[in-house]
Amino acid sequence: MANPILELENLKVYFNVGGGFLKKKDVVKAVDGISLKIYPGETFGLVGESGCGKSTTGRAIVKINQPTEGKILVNGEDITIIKGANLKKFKQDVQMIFQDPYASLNPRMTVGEIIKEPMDIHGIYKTNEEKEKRVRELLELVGLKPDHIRRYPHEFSGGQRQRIGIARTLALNPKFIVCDEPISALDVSIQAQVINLLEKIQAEMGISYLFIAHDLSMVKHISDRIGVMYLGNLVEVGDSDELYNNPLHPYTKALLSSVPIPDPRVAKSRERIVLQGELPSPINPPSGCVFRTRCPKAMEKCSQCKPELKKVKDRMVACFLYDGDKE
Amino acid sequence: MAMLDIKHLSTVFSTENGTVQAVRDVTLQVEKGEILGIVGESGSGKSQTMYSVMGLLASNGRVAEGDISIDGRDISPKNYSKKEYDKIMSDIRGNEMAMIFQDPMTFLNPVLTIEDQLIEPILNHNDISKKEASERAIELMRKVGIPSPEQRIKQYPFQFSGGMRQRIIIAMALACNPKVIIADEPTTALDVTIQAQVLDLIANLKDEIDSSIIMITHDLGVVASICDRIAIMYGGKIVEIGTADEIFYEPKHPYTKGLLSCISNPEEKEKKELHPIPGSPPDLLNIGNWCPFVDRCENAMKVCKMSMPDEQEFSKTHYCSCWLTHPLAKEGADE
Amino acid sequence: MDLKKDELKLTPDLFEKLDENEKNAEKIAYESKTYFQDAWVRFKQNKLALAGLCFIIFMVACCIIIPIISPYTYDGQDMTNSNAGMSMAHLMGTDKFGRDILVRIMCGGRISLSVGAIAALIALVIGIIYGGISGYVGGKVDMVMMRFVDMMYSIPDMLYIIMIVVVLEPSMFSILLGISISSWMGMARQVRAQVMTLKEQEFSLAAFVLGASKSRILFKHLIINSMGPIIVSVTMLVPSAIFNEAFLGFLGIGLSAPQASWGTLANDARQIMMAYPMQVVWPVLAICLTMLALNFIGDGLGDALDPKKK
Repeated sequence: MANPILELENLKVYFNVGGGFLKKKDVVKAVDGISLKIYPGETFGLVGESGCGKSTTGRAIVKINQPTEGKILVNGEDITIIKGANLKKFKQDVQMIFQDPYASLNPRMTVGEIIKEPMDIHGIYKTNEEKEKRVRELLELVGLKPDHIRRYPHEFSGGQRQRIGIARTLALNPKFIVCDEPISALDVSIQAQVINLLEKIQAEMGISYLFIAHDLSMVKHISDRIGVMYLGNLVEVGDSDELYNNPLHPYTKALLSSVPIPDPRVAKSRERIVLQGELPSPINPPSGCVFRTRCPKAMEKCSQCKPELKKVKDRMVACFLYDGDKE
Repeated sequence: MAMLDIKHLSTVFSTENGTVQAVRDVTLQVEKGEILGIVGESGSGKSQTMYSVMGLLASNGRVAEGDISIDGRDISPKNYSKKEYDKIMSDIRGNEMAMIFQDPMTFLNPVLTIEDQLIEPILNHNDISKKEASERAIELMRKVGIPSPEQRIKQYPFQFSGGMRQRIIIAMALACNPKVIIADEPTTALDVTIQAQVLDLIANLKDEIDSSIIMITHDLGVVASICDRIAIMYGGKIVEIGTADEIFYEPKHPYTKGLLSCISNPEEKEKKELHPIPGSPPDLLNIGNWCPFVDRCENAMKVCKMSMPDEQEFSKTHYCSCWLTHPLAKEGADE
Repeated sequence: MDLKKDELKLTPDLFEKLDENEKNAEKIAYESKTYFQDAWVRFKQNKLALAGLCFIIFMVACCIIIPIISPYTYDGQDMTNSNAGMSMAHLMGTDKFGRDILVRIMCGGRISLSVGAIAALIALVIGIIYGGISGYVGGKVDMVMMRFVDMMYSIPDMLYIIMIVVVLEPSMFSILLGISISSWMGMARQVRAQVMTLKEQEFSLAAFVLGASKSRILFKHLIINSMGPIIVSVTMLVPSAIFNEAFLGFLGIGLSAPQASWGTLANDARQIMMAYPMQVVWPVLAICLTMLALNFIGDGLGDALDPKKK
């Protein structure tokens, strides 16, 4: 296989919260040591419930959040210490699509100005005519009319705005895009438009995606591989069909059985694994395996040490249940 | 007789830019003990229909037309003066009809304990002592699956997680054994595993209580698992209504078909291509009196942009409003 | 084509496929309006604010035109006709040196209004830069910068306005300096609060991810989007600057004669108030109406620019 375009090595992102005068600060371990590789042209889906650290991981990759520890390698270069011209190159190569299409576009700029902005910043086109031409191309690529160029974001619907956001990220011909819940704020009939657009762009331009979402059915649809996160840890990584059809980690099993199925006969006959209890606080996560407090199969060992992400059969799982059957 | 009977309901909002027809001629019956799902996109009028029924419209909105009755009792705003209507509705809300909201935190008062908030509807509508009400509240909390309710009833809303708060809201809705419970996107703000818990709870409660439940949602997956009947709303109108099986396996309206083909079903082995519905939902401001879906419909015909289609019956439970199912349309297609 | 059902005769040709061009799936229903055009529409609906705006425009126009077309000048004395009452020759009468009060009020208005406008503008510029940097950089820088603002706030305004004016000799420059220094802190605080909420918004994160420089994010994204509330408070700053200047004039440390502002005019007339009350009424009326009009405008702008009303 080719070299990975993105590699996370033991990435940790901690936040200080609370605290103040004479008060100790608490540390939220939003991302607590995850490692993964994403290859060129691939879509990697990252799923988990709110507060599991999936968005923080995405934000660390585009440098919005500073990692506390660990490395983020893009094309083999550690971007946590990158500077100068390399930083500028990195900003062109790695882009992000945001969740809320109502908040991610500057309301005081026209659509043309919004899409033109990255070109201005990086000076990739010399004349205004060239930029304008490119903006029109991009608008057409995302399925909007080129004469929308002088309109303001509030005149568009949510799906149209998300497509404007996508056009903006494409202006720099990126190689890697972090999609942070790009469809969760959209209506059902619009979600498929955006998903199909992302797939079309990938086929044409060979971009890799990190697709972050909590909606498993869409993630399964678009991803080649899926990683499941729980409380700042990656618990299972595998091929998306394999992982869906045969989940190994108890959390993945519970998560998958909770996904609503749009098919009444299947939905009514299906057995749900309903997890007991609540998500523990990331300020004070459980010792050992973080999932043990809600795991139906927790053992004594689980509270003593933390399971590593290990190769089991065709994928990686972090669970002691599979210690015996290593390949 | 239907528990909740809505006939030709139209609701309008007056805004700076003109009149928005949020609900347009909606007719709907909810039978005793059933779970009815109302599915639609944002702006389809699904929530406003129910707010009209509950008398909870924003100040610039009003019910322009229509009859509403609950268990035979007329509650149409047009038949009463404002004062009479408010009095009737404050008696009915919480007692005969209860509502579960999307975001529990906006509904719970952060400075009152759960006990204060739970016994309030019980005391308002029943002639019992505070202690009895309190016991009833604990019973309700147990019923909705809140562990150790005796201790937790003394706590404040912020001490509960999102899923637990939603359970409290459900307990409040159940407090007076209402005839109809309206749940407005009750699980949208929750994570999948918590959503599964809450849906399980609603499905189980259905067997214990004899209330009718109306579930407003945009998620076809949610309605598939628990609803008996499903109404599909688009552009302020009900375009198709039928049992869950009829909607999922024999959809008639192109919008219903479109919705089903643009969601991915993870259970399917083959990766199917998604067929999105092109375009965006209609603007209900100054909308024409023809089929609202015409601009996004693949098979739209000339008549679709001239007149509103009539409702056609496919079975005793299955109705659809679309010109494509008109006999003349079939002839056209055969040619 | 909005036909009632019974008017429509169903014929097979109506069931032919609709032409794609007749659909408007991606149509945008509204005409394109910028934020400020939109705000103007809402502003116009507020009659009081509109009246205030008309009054200010009228006042400014008078202040510019009347001294030019009038046969009198602001310092032209006519001792033969002192303390005259209202007449066709002198619409507001004359003062104790026989100078035409109308012309003096209008010349005073030039000074008072420009002091108000310039002081508000200076406060605006300082406030945007100071508050913007403080809010955007955050952390320790923010803490130090804001404690300095707190410190400035704790000194009474009038104290250092008077000190500056007295030390630098009363002049347009010293008065402007004093008033601006006393009014930028509120602006800085407001800009900082705006910037701090906006910098977490996804559009400014998006600009960061695109590689935009700090100053670009601050000015092109954050400040532009906080303009609404900032404009409102600038409008509110103008009357307070006018008032401060008038107050200085009234205390007798305003502009020196024969130059006059509304404040010094009122002060001059005060000495003979018992005999000729109208001489006080005119400048006071000018001050009051102008401040009232500006407050109405500020109120109207507040409603028109408030995004929550949308």
